[in-house]
Amino acid sequence: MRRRGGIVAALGLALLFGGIGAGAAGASRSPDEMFARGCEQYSRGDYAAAADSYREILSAGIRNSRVFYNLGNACFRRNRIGEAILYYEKALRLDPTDEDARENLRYANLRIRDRIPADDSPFLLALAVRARDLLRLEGVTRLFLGLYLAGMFLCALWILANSRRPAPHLGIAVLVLFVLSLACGGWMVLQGRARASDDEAIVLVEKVEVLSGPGPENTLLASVHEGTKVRIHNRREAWVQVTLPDGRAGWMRGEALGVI
Amino acid sequence: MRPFRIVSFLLLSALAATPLLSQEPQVRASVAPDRVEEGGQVTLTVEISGGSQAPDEPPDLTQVPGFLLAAGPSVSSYFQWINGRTSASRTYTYTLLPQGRGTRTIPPLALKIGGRVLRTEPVRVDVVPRSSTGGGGNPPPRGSPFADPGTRRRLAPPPTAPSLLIVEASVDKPVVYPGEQVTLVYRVYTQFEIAQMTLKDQPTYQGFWVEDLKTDDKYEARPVARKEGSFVEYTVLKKALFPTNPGSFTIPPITFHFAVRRRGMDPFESRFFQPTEGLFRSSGAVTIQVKDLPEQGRPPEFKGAVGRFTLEVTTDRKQTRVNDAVALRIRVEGQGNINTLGTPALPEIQDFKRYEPKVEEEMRAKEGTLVGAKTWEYVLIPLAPGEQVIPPVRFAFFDPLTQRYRLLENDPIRLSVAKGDLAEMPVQAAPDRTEIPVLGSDIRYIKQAAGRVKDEGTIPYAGRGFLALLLAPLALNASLLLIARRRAALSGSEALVRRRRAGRAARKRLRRARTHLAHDQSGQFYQEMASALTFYLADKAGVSATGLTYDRIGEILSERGVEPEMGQRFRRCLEACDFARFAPASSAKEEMERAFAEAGKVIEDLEGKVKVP
Repeated sequence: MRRRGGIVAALGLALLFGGIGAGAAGASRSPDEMFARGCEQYSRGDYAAAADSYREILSAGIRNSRVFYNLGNACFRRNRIGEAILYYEKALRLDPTDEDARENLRYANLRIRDRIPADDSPFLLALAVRARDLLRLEGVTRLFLGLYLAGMFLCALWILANSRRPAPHLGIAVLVLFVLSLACGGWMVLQGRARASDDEAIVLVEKVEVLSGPGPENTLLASVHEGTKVRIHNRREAWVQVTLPDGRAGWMRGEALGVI
Repeated sequence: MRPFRIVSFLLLSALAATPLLSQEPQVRASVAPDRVEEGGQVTLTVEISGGSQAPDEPPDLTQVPGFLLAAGPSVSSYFQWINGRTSASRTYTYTLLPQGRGTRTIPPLALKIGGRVLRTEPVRVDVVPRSSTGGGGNPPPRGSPFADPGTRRRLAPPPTAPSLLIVEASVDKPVVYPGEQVTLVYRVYTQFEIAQMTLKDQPTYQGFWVEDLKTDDKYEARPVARKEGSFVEYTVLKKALFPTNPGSFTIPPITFHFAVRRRGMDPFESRFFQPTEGLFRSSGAVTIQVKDLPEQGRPPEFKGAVGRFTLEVTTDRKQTRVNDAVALRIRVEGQGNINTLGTPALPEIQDFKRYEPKVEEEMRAKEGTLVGAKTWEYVLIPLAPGEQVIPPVRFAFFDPLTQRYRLLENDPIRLSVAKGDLAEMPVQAAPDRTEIPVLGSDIRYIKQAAGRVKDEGTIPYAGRGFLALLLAPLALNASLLLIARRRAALSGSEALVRRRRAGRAARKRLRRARTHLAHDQSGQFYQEMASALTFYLADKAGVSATGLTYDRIGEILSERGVEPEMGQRFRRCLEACDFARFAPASSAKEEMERAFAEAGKVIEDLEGKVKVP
């Protein structure tokens, strides 16, 4: 009799919790559910709804490379090239190893009005940038930690061994690991800075004018079109100072830009 | 005799030519009759008199507004020579059909004669409405005995006067789409008996693709009532026109020449003896409006086909082998202009070699509309084995009845291609191979992989945990180092410690000895000096200081690699101290000073020279 009562109580509790869980899910879906819903809407061809679903995930403060990538695709399908490029760039910031995002970014860049000058950075620098993007920041961090902790472990062994008799081989190993982890640490910081930087932006409006100073009374220098990437230097109220892809600098309205 | 005749003829000709050349040619145009009923014909005569030269070319009457040239020119010349006076004339005769009503004017006609241009006077022709003579206005009811055209024609005026022979051109629809069939019918309405009919002037159907719709060789007579009276109707020509471009197009009139025979009053009069009269009749012009095909809903596959069609795609077999040809037939059948059908879009089929299609057309008129079928037969050679799919063929056309575009598409055809025999399969030469073709480009698809959607925007090394992770092993190692040091100091070896501290202990003893020296206590001074030296050596060598004899000291010094000279100095110094200690007389102060300095120097020199065993 007692046992049966226990079962009934357990069932009741389960129902109660289940009900609460379902209620919570109805009110605000989890990011995973929103993601799945967005993908389903996308595959149905309802790109506007898919974009809204992905944006909802982002509005919850979650920055995720897959979400950015899929949102970029949804924007591309709706012919919003500027936004698509912005989100591909954001996805690449979080995951520079994502070949899909890189390819789609290249494809989207074919659609923009302004000609992007070919990347003419020196070979070694280009190589360094490519090397930097071989692993995503999480991977580099893990690598650094692994090397560092291994070095520290070997160092401890060396201290213990050395108190009895000198251990030069262990000492060399410790030194090598130390140098490696130092390099890896540098790589990690480099990538971290790239991820955290907010000095690049994409033009989101069809056309925006570049003036010589922060104010409409200044001389018109150029006009750039949707999808063009600019570098931000300075901000003053609603105006930002930017460098255009061809190296020219000027001021434009900040609301025309989406910061990567 | 014969040469004389020729010469005399030449002379006569020369004589005749002289006055002729001096005469001025004159041109004159006249028309008969100058008053004609609508649908009648007039004869225009252009006469050139005086002068012997013929004009370079006869006057052109094809472009005279308001008139249609039915026949002509026929040329006749007249030459007279009477009593030295010559008169010559040349006459061009045209048959013209005035168009419309009212006064029509033939403008001055220009004739170029011998380098001069002569012009005729303008000629007026009045075209009056067709009179109702012959019961035109109020036709008698059909079946009345008076309706017989023959009875009424008895009082008919001559053929140039109102004559009830009408040629009419009509189209079934005045407004069409490009490519839509419009049927043009030429009908003849007559109250005469027509003995013969010849096509005089075939119009050019500019802007149309023309197909003759076969009419019977024998014209079928059909009695009809018109407002002018009762007629017999013959359909003489039927054409299917397909406009090629939008716009407004006018089909110029067609002209026939008829040989007609009036029916005489006398029923016994033999028709064979009755003469026929020649009559020209032309139809009116017909204007056809061709409107643009609608833009809305036009599929990209549309290539201009207009009508109603069906599409059928077949292959001659469903199973084949590599390199075994398959025939793919695309058949479009229906109403419309089969000739101008564009090839339906056959999509690119991978793994197949394709040859240019063989095209067959068949067309026939069915109840006045042109129907037919066009077949494209492709030969496909499968290049790779497996289940191959021939994608749907699409064919789009515009249906003018529903005014909509329609897209026909067949189901994809599945072909199972078996591997050919290895021996039969030719080894594909390298140049035949192609790159994997780029058939399209698009963005890559979204990422759908399951898995938690985590925030990835943080910088992993910026947290405190990371710093702790870095510092913890560092602190651990530092403390490990300290402990190792401590343990070495504790348990490492006393000998080491004694060795390390030997110098310090010796100096301490020497300082004490110096105090004794200052207080002039020579016994204690020398004892202290001796123990400083003994203990120093014992500490350094790691042996006990008690019971060290001079011999043992010598052994130790030589064992520990100290130079013999150095050993001698040490021993002498120690001996001196021992000697002075046990000597009864107190030694002099200078002596003590010297011994002290020597002991300090020996210890100093010995530092680092005693080797560890």
